[in-house]
Amino acid sequence: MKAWLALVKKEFRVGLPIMLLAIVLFLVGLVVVTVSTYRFGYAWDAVGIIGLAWGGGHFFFMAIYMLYSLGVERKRLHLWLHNPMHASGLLAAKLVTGTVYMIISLLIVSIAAYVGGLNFVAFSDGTWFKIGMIAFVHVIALSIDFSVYVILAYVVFLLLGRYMSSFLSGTVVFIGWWVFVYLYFGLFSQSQFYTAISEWGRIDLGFVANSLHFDISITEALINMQGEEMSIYVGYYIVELITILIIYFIASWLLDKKVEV
Amino acid sequence: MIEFKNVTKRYMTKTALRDVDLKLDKGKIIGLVGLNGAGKSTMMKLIAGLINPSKGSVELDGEKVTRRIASKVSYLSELDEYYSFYSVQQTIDFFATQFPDFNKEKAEEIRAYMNLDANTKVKHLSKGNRGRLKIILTLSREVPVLLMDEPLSGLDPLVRDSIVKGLITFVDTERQLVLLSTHQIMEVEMILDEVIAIKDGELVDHRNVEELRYDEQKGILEWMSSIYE
Repeated sequence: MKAWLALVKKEFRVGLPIMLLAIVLFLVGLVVVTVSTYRFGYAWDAVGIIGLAWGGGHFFFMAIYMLYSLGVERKRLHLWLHNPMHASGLLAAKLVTGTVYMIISLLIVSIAAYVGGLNFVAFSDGTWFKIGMIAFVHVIALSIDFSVYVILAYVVFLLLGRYMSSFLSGTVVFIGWWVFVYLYFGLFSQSQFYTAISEWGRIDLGFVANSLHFDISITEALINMQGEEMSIYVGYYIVELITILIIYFIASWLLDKKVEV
Repeated sequence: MIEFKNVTKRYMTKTALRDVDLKLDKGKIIGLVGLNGAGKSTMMKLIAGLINPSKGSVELDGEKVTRRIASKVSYLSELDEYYSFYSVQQTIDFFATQFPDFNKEKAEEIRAYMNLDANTKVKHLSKGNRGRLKIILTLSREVPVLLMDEPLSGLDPLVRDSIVKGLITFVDTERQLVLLSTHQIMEVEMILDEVIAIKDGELVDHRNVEELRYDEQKGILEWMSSIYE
């Protein structure tokens, strides 16, 4: 455990540029929209919109973080893989640090989204908080979920690197990625079987906002959040959790047994 | 201790090692010599578990080698890529956390001996000093096997000399096996117990250096010349 915690500490150093980049880009965007909308009197609305958009964009945070962090290790695989720790431990250290960084970045963005959103959102405080929490938790969970698929793709890329050039293995992984997306999300997740195993344990969330509606004219711009009564299925989350655990296990096994330096 | 059983390693169409059978015992410093591309680094990586044999098996103390053999093997790569944001001391501290057998006092002793500033960032180290850092990290581990792939490559004579002397001083020759590949034969000849020659992926000879010297009146370079010419 001590070794793993030290590895986590190292991963914080490795991944720091990604968190700083996310925050700096957000702050730059914030300044630009604030300055450009201030004279029209919509600065706070713009802050809210960029907060919501950048917050939603955090879905990609973990994937980008993992690509960067694994890219750093790719240059020094002899160092990263020369370690008695199981590959799942090596990857977990990256996932944990990425998640912490994402939460920090998302919290900063959420403050802007909340403060700015108050200008055009007419919900009660309770509803606003509920929507915020659901969005916050889902962005984090989906981002981690997505990054596990990215980890597997990257490990396959490293594995194929034994047999072909980086460009070719990258191309094969890219094509394989879209084939997988079609098979899993296009076919399997639309099947009756998937519905049967995932649509159980219904939880009604009540009204949940899920989109922004813009009504812009020459003289004014109206922004409204729109939503609907929503429900979720516990089964869906369980199935996805099991899926990413399997994917994570496969990626770890490949890294342990098949990837070469 | 280390045993290669009919090991072949192929990369696509290229065969890096072919049908190698070899046994290495502890308590020795063994030189691995051969021309560029002969298969020296491949052999090192196979023992370190960083690559897998295409055929045959590599065992350490009867245990099949995998990547996690790192608990028993200290591997010095020919590459000197480290985490550039760390200082020398932070790199040593990080290694100490990753390997329970890492001896920090020994690391400090070697660092002082190598005259390497603890506070310098790795990214600011010269090639020679990065070579020194590699030696510190490798020799500070108290493991049965030390693998050193080209530890003297690209270094100036003074650094090479300090590294060779460091090997004599800091290796436990009773309990550790050191396998080092090098082209600087003259500089390491005096510390080698055995020498292995590889040519085009095949193990061509494995000799005791003292026997070679007394029985055949040959130094390693002459012996190599007779093999490679």
